Amino acid sequence: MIDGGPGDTLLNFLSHRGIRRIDSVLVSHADADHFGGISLLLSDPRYRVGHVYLNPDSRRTVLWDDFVSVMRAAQQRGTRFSLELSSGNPGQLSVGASRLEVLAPSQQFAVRTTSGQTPGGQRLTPNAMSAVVRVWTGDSPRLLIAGDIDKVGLDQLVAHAEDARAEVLVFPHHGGLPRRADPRDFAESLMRLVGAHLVVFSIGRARYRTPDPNIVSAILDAVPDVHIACTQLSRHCASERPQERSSLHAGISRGAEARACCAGTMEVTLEPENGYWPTRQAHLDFIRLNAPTALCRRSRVPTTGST
Amino acid sequence: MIGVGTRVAVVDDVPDYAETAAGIAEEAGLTPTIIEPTHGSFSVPNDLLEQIRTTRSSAVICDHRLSDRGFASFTGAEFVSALYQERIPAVLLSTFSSIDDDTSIRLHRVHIPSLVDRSFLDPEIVIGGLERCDSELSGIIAPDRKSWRTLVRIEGVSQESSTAVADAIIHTWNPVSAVRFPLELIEDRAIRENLCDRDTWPVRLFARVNVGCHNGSELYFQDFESAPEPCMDYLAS
Ligand SMILES: [Zn+2]
Repeated sequence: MIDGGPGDTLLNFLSHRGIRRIDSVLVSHADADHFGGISLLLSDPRYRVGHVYLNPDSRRTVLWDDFVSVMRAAQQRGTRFSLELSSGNPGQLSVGASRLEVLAPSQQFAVRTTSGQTPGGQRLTPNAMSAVVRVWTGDSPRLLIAGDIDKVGLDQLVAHAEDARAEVLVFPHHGGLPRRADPRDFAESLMRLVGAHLVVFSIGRARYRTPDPNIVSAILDAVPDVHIACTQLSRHCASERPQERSSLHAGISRGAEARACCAGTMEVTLEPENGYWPTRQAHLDFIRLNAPTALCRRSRVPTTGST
Repeated sequence: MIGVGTRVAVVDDVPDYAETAAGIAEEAGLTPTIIEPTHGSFSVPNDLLEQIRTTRSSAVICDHRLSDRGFASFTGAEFVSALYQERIPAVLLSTFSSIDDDTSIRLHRVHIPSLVDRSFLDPEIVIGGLERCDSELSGIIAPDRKSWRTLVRIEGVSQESSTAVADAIIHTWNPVSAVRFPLELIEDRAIRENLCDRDTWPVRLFARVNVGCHNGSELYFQDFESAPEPCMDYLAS
């Protein structure tokens, strides 16, 4: 398991699937929108959680302390914790026939200096320290989960990872603006590095104005045939919610009851076949009906002379 | 099952309000009876329950503030909670004062699936509210009513209209918005006394909370326990 947002969606999903044991949990970084669901999981004695990997928050916020308290209670029930999540530790993890590879932060970057800066003198934030994890099925790089990595983290990734290609990218920071970086540049360099054909934005309709239109537009420029899927229906794409709950969100999707979903839960299968659900066609059909100003369907400016 | 002809008792200490609610119930196809105190006021929920049983009602629409005019010496929330435990579906009407939500209603919220702002009361909402309660009583729990064990960070305690209350952050629900609840919900006396005596905050507890709900007024709390101090040193293994 990699990250889990607040609320009970994650636990509802696990109970829907009859999952009671989780071998490894990776918390990409110390923000409540990524550890809230993990906190609920670790607080529930019905679940057996083996090993949790994470990088502690050096700012010691009250929120982080909430999570520390939860982790200590889970430790008393047998869960083990590693307070480092980097390309050096655990580096790689085998999960069935799949393999997880931690691409960032590098071990060297994960070692904080006492000033709260990187060895290179850049200020460390949880986002800069965000883990980037790639999931392999056999020889195919299937999925890249980029946490909330920002420009500082991306630069580190470019410098240290040999390559970061993956078929599916969960876009960092929910498609929100990367701190102190041009959103277009950021999205372009990330897409150049990953080259995904499916880009997922994990967003909430009620909060923030995500994904940023410049980011979506840069992705479409970089990979014209890319499928972009937001979990919820961005306000950029539709001012009104659909009249009825769509069959696209039959399973557990956060916001489905409130008719706030676009693609809803995106399920990327790892084995035996490589597919994902909802399919591109089903998602497009939903968008055509419900998202009149969809960012991902930007009509291209016709070039002169083209037919 | 709630449907056309279901007999519903209307409990409200203000006759005009009772008439309005009964009229809306009738519009919804229900058969309402307005409950009036026979002698003096109702002193315990059981007396009111007995009175309702004489009307052969199988559902109740109940106002929250029943004691302001001496109708009863308990709140509507307490009564709706008693009805729930008797497996009688009910809708609680309030004027959505945040003080009520945080104190007298929160105290019984675990047994109140349907709380309705009386100014929004209409036939559809009455039926929806009664059905929601009825379906919970039959074991179908709505997603926003399921409770989960979670950490609750208490930021302080104070008095609100002569009730001891705690202000808390539940980061698994919403990491930035504080929620107030009556200290009485913490059953363990030692934990309660510790909260009242201390001057350093926060204090962390575990409790079961319906963190899938949207609005803070829907949150209910039960089964409080102590939580470990947030000390990182013990974590590294
Ligand atoms: Zn985030």
